[in-house]
Amino acid sequence: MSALQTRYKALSQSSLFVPVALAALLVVANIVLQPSFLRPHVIRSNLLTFSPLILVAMGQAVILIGGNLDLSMGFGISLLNCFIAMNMSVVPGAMGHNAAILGAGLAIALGMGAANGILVGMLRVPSFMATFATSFIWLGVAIMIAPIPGGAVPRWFAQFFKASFGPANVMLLVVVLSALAWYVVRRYRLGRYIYAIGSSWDASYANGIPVNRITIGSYAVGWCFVYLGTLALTAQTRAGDSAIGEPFALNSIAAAVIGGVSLSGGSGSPVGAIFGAITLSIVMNIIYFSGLPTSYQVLVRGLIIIAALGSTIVVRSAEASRS
Amino acid sequence: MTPAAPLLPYRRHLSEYWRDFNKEIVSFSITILLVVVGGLISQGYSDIGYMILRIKVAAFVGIIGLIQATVILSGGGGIDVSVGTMASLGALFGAAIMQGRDEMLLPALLAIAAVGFVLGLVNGLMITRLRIHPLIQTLAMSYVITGIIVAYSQGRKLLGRPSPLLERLVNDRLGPLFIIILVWVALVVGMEFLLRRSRVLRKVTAVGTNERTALLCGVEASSVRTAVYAWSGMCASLFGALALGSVHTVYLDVGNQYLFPSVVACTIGGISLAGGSGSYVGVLGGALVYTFLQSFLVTLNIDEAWRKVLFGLILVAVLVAYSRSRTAK
Amino acid sequence: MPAYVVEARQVSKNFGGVPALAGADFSCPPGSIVGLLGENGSGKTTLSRILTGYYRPSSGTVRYRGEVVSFRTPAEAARLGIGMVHQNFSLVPDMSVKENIWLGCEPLGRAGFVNDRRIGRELRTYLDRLCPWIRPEAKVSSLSPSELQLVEIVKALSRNPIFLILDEPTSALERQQVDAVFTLLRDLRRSGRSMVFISHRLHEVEQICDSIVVLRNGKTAGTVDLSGGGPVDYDRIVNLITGNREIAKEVRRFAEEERAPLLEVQGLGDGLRLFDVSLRVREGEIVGIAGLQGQGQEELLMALAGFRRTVAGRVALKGQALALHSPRRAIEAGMVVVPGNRQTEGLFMDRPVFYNATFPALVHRRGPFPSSRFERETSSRLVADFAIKASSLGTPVTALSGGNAQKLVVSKWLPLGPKVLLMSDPAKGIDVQAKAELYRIVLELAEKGTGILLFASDLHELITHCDRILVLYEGRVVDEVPGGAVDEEGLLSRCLRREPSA
Repeated sequence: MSALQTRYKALSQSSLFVPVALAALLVVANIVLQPSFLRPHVIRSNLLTFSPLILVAMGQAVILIGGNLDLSMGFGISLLNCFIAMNMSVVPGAMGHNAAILGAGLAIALGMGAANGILVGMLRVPSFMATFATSFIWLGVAIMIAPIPGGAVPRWFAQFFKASFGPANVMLLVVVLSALAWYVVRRYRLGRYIYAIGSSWDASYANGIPVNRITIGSYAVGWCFVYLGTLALTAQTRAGDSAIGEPFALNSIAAAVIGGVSLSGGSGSPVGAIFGAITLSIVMNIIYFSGLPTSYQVLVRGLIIIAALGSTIVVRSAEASRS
Repeated sequence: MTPAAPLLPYRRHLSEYWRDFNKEIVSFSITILLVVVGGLISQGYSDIGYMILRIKVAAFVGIIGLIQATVILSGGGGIDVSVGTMASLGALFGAAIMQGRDEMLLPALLAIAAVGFVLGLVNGLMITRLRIHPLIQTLAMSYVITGIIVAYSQGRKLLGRPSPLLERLVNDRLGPLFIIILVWVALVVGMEFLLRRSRVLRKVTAVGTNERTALLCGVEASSVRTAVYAWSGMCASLFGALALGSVHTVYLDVGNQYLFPSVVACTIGGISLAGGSGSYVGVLGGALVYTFLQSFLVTLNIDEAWRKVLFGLILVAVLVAYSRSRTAK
Repeated sequence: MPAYVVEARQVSKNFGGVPALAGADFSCPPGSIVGLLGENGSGKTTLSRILTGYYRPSSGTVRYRGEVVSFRTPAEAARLGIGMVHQNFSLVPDMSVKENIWLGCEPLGRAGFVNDRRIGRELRTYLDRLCPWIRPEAKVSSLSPSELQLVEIVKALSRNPIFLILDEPTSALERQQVDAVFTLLRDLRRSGRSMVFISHRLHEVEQICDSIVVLRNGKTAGTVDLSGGGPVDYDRIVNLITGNREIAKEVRRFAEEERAPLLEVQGLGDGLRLFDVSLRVREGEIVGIAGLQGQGQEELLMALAGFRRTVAGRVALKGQALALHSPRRAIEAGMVVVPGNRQTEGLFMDRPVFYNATFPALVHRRGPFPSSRFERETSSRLVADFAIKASSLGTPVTALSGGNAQKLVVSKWLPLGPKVLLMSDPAKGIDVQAKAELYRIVLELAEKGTGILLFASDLHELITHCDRILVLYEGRVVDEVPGGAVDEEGLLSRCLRREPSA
């Protein structure tokens, strides 16, 4: 078998199978309930709505694979969103300024990731608690930047992700490129070592892997994805709001887990998290179009999530006992 | 039978006392420090009356902290992020059943306990049988409970009031102290005793320390943890009724605000997230630190945003200090 | 040309005031294999960690190929050609064998990617020689303990070390695998490499090493030259290791009279590793289980303990049928187990001595609140009776030495008065003194009527202590030898299913 074929075989048996199947199942259900789902403009609109969670879930997945967690993503998104919206200028001809703001935003995102990474990697604070603590810091700064929702973004920024071709738009391209970017990182030592430290911190250390630096690296890579997600979010909300990020923290974890990423680290893939996020997002769609009375929609959403989680685990352990 | 051996002490040197009780010592010291510094900065901060009011608030955080601590102690990534929504559910149902009548207090409590127990049991079974991570399972459960609350309260005027007895339990004083504070302290003393002496809690900490060893000694992790989550659900719901007593109108997420403080109190109080180690007295200290820290920051007259930032920074500092003390051993 | 590849002079290492090494000397000439012996706590592991760059010495010098070196990280030492086969495995479970072999020093292709293809080629050389049945793509988490150890060795050898330290490299291997490894090591020696062989197994050390260095209490107690041929002076070696202390000479009185049957096992099988195992243990009898690595010994004991699912067979304890659904049933019936790995299965590592000592007693006693008096009395009694070196009851068991911790693993069951004690290699990896004390406890138990079913990887232990020895081969009992009627060679032949040499 050629190297390509071997890799294909490995992929089909890999942890991606269940999340993709699950997402596919839900897409079908969605189509049944909402026949217009396959219309190009609906597809594009869904892509726009789902993508922030997709990208943030990818970021969370990278950190989870490294054996850690990041609960501060939610308020970090709030911070970045407020920063961008409050500082970008809608005045025409302010390209240089806006580019600088976007660059600064990336730097801030990397800074937040690095801060978390240093706490977890070098100061050895358990990631749950460390990121729980830093989330307060990010929220506070977000409120400082935007005490009440406000700000604005230039038109070109808002339209950027919407630019379309056929049923697809630039947003889809961004997600696909992100997935490809991950595959590149995976081929490098950084990618490999993130899996190593997630699987066994002790063994990684014994092998001379710079575990601290790799931990910081995993947070940095993760927050790159988070930043992309925030850009997608801000382009759509067109404003800064310190409350906007809150659901992302726990939702990104749920999406990653549904996407096959193990909470103990060392296995899974951010690409799986893409499908986990799609699954999570489509659930709301399905419930809406199912015609359930609104009072029951939240409840059914929770039940479906539990079912999705249960099925993920059950299928995985069935596979494991078979092999 | 060999002659009785000389009784060895539990601890010989002072350093061993520090090793075993450092978290409790540190958290009480920080609380005292906050009171002293606060008193210096703002007159009236150290006034006994205000302190007791704050301790009353701490009592709520402390009680929910006891529940969370037990879940975390049971190990396996144990945590219950549904305690907040469980409390809200308990408050809602409780108010609806009680309708401000004392004679409905007991039935209300029984009903709340039953509901919480069943939901907690579902958590426990999903976590132990289906091997879903506790964070994810309880998170999903909290979505479901929110759904139940929304479904129940939709289009319905939120009627119901806590029974006067309940309100008195929470708000009345016995001497200078509030009854609720005495209840809290009694709970801490009782549970600490159970932690050190009872078979039940020894099984919980054993399972939290090492599942395999516990199993080879005849203690099965799945049954212990299932029981812990069921108990946690029941108690969190009952706590909701308690929370109800402190507010006079029912609102939808009266309990949700207690989730984060419960985790913070456990962390500062030295409950290790890996499971197995920690004490309830530590959680009491953690609740005190949390409450006094929040009010200290308010006293400094800084706005909400800075309060959050400072709180986060201080929490980070405490965490770093704890992790250094662990590695220094 | 320096006379030694590695030379350590007067090396000391302190951990927070506790000296792990106190002026040890060690030297290894090129093209030779040096054995490093010593009790647990003598400093062997500390010395090897200093030589491979994990620790910096508090004082003393280390010379490598003639030059003084001071490594800051293990990677520095590795770059100079120093390698180590670890005792606690350094393999990452979720990754494949291939990914693990070069973990930490992957060869890079163009553009800085990891060069997978080159890894694959280099891998096959040693893999084929030691364990050709292992696929490079196999996940490490799916390998057995002996396979893990072989992969560890392959990993260290693939880096082409000039100087290699092997820390208990054969503890999980069976005879043929050990022979294959030794052949490889001899080849390396011929090509001028040097190795340090750390082990408790004296007969293996005698086989492969040119000389022995013995550490005791952090210092070098003495050296023994083995290259001259001739008989090995075991007494002198043991003397150097233990320092002239009285080792309780274990003498087992082989009782011949018939006693009541205690444990009866018929046709036990789990469909995977155990098939149709039948045995009987009488009151006060010590029955040993011998066999090559991985023939089902551990599985048999775990199945009897209720920890492993069985598909066939009947077990009766004192005539009462026993269902092996869970350890709880077995314990309630009076059959308890001393597991193979004390840190992960035998003890609650971060908990104090009293917690561990009283746990089984607490769990299985009547009454909801055992008093603090009971806890303190029980723990104190166990510590005293079994000479467990712990200054106070609140000491975490991580502070105990291997031998003392193992005594705790055994003695914690005694307040329950068990009828049958299942022991899985209880003396593995603990020093000679503690081993003797442990077997003294076992003997006392047997004399009081407890039945013991004991598996040991060291055949000498079995011969010395057991009334009868069963030989397990591929999950079946294939032979039975009365105690005292066989020597180590004979027992080994039976394990190998070879005709014993006359």
